[in-house]
Amino acid sequence: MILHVHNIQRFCLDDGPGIRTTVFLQGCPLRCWWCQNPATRPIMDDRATEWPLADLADVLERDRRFWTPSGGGVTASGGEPLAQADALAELLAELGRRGVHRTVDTSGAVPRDDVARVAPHTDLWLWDVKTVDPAGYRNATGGDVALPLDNLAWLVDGTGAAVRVRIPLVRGFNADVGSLADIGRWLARLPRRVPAELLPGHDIRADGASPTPDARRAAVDAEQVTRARGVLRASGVHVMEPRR
Amino acid sequence: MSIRPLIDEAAARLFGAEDTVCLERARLVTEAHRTHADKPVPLRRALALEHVLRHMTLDLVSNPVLAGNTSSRPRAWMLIPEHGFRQDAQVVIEHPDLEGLLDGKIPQDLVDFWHAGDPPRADGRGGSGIGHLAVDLEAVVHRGLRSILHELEAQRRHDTDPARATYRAAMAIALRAVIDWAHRYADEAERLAADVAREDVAACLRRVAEACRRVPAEPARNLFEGLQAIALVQLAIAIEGHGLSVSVGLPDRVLAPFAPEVEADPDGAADLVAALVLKLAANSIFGRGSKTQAITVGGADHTGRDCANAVTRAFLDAYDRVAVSDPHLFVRWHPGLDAAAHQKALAMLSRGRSMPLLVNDAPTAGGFITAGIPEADAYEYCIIGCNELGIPGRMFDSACTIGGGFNDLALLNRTLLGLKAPDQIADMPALLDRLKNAYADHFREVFANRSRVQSDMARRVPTPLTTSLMRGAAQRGADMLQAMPYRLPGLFTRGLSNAANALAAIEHEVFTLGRSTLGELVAAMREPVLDDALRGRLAEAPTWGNDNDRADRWATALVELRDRAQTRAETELGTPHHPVCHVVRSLHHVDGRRIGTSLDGRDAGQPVGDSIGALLGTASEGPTAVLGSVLKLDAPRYFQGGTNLNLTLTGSQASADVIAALVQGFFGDGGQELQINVLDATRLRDARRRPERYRDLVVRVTGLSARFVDLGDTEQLELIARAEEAAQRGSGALRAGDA
Repeated sequence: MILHVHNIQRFCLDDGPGIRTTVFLQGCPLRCWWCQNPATRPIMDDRATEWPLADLADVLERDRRFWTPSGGGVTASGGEPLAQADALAELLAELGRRGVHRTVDTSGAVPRDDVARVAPHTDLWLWDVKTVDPAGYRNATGGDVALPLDNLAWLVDGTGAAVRVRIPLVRGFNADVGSLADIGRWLARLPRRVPAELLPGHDIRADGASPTPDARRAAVDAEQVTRARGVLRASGVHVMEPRR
Repeated sequence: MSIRPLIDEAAARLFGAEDTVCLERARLVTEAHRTHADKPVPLRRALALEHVLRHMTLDLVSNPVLAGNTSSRPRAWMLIPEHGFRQDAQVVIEHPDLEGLLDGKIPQDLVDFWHAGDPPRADGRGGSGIGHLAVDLEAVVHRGLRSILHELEAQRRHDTDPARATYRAAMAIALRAVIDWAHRYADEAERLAADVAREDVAACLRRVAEACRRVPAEPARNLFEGLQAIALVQLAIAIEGHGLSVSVGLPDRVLAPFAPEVEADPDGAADLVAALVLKLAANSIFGRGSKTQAITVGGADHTGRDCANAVTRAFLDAYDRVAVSDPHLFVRWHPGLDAAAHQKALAMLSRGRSMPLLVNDAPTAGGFITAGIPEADAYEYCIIGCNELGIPGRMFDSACTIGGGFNDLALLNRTLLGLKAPDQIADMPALLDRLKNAYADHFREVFANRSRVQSDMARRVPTPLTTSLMRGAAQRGADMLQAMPYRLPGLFTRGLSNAANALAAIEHEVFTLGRSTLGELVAAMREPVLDDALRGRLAEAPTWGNDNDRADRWATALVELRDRAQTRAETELGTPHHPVCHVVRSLHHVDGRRIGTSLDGRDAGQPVGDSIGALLGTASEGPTAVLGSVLKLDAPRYFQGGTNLNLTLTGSQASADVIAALVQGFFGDGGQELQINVLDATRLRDARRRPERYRDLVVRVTGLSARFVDLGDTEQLELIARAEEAAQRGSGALRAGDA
């Protein structure tokens, strides 16, 4: 079995706990206008690499020496990693056999079966909640908001999975008080409290450059981030502090 | 009464001072050599030291907490004419504005005496001197110099060898001179204390007076006397004439008996240590240029017992308090290192404060053990320079290694350019075979030359004071350059990263793709600048430092090949084993100027790698991959003298937790040394624009620490480039959150 891999990046510090190796999988069903990396959207792309699973597991394991001391491991991201759910489940199972901590970073906009297939092999979910507004979601991403929200509710209610909600803060989309308060209320109604972290658009690239004009248009300032944190906290959401 | 205000004032005076020239030592040494021209050289040298210490200006004003100074005021260059009046090339690279500082400042009669006559001088070392040593401060602090004098007396009673008798007499003169110097400070401190208006200054001076009546002649009774003894002895050694890298060794072990006193008042103790650190920072040779005086703390002994104690923590606190660049601080890591000391060091790194450099006990002591040093002494190792290793009072790596090094890239270039028919080289093994011969030829030359230079320097510029502070010196009665408890002459290296990349590029371009012939590549090397198209093709090859075996195997092949050639030359010439140390400081520029265009994509004259890690601009897989590559080199076997490894992180990457994990992962798998820099390109650019706001910004350069604002363009821009590269790593180009 093979996985279509866009990129592998070591020493990732923001994709779950500790020092992590993140594998960015190729292919995404959504079309977010602020997308940083549209090249990961098509499932087939010249720039992607087809990796046999065992080889991929070996490569991903290279930073193992830094995982025990940092509590790190491997993060599957994308693209949309669940777009290759079968192969991903196998990769994660293999990493599990090797004792690796596994995180899946997803938009959640996939069929329930795909989530269910991967869930037994996932130690931590990073789950995107971009908005709870169906029309807003459809306009901004082309997808159906019911999928990620229902899947998340199922995961939180029906499994013991560790979940961290990620809210990408996007100017002109969800950075206003109303949108955030709606997200906050929705999260507060989940049967189990899950922590949330903010992904401010301006911080998406550490080198300060944004690849597309739309991505630059999405950027928020520090004040908006502080305000967003306040709104979510007021709704009873546990908002994690930025790492540093 | 807190001495903190005095520490702050002393730091401000030191770091605010302009570089000037102090001719006192040069004049006094010259006078002594004129007066004693008829005496044997060791005596002349000891009498010259005595003359300086007896007549030099005592400065108890710029830092009144401790006695000791090398020149009449801070940053006034103390000259060592025995090693020439030239400026050290590295200091000039790091501080180009200091170039020419000595021009026109040295009176003609001094120049004439040292150039035209035949005084005992070491030719060819410039201002760098001997250095790279740490004496037995345990004996200084806990037995006192008088006990060494007694040993010398006992030996002299049955001296039969005139040369040894002379050398012992010279050592005794030098030791007495230091004791008398301390008494001069005591007198001066008493005089000043009576006059000074400020009570905190007067109290300090009275304490200095009392201590200097006792130490370093007699054993120290408390922390202050221990620090005072160390300050006086270290600065006296510098005045004797060494230049670079007179290092302190393991002061937290030496001062450990005073740990209860430190525990009772950790804050006061850290202030006293800060005063010592400033005192040594004021060693005025090279002014604000780094003297690479190393202070090493922490670590275990050979039984695995952690040696860190309250004094270790006081040193870390002191460095946190006064952000000095020199003496630079090293922390010996082992799995059982005192948690408070460990966390303090990590927190300082994370905050970018004083940048302690971390050394891993197991492979470092392991390297010495492999080289034949008994375990108990191997675990007493310390850093004696940028990252060179020694054992206080027992072994040092003298700068007599003039010509005692090699550059892998230079040897590869020489081999390639020397090929009569490059296109007849059929494959990589054939090329490596030629390279092995080049290494062997080079080592034969180096070892023969080194042995000659070392005995020449022992004859011309013996250092009886420094020698007297080495273990067993009274019994041996010979200069440390001739005899030490252990002799492991160092062999210094650079250019491994460049050479590995060049080999990977040759394999890729010639033997894998067949796009060029080796002859074509060799022809390109004869041009000062690489053709852009060729440079682009060479850049497609994998590079060292990305944990990519296709490139990394060339680095491992090079060290194995070098080791075989070295062993062959050592056996042929019957020399002791030479531990190899990858050391850079600013020699990557010096070396680079002499090396032509190379196939790692480097133009003629450009610097070689600044560490054993990835070359600047090539670490595409980030810091963990750099560490993964370096771990493929068997450090205890191939780098028994240590390796310098720069790792630059951005402020957002460098939390104490992340640094702790990098250290534990790297050291746990046998990494030898880790020089972490936490740099932010925006902040560094701002520091260039507004230096007055960044006086405390201490950075690790390449084997030295420096205040960023003191550095010249070359080093500042190199650091900014490293910071920019670090910012593109790790959580850089594409993050999981982008989904």
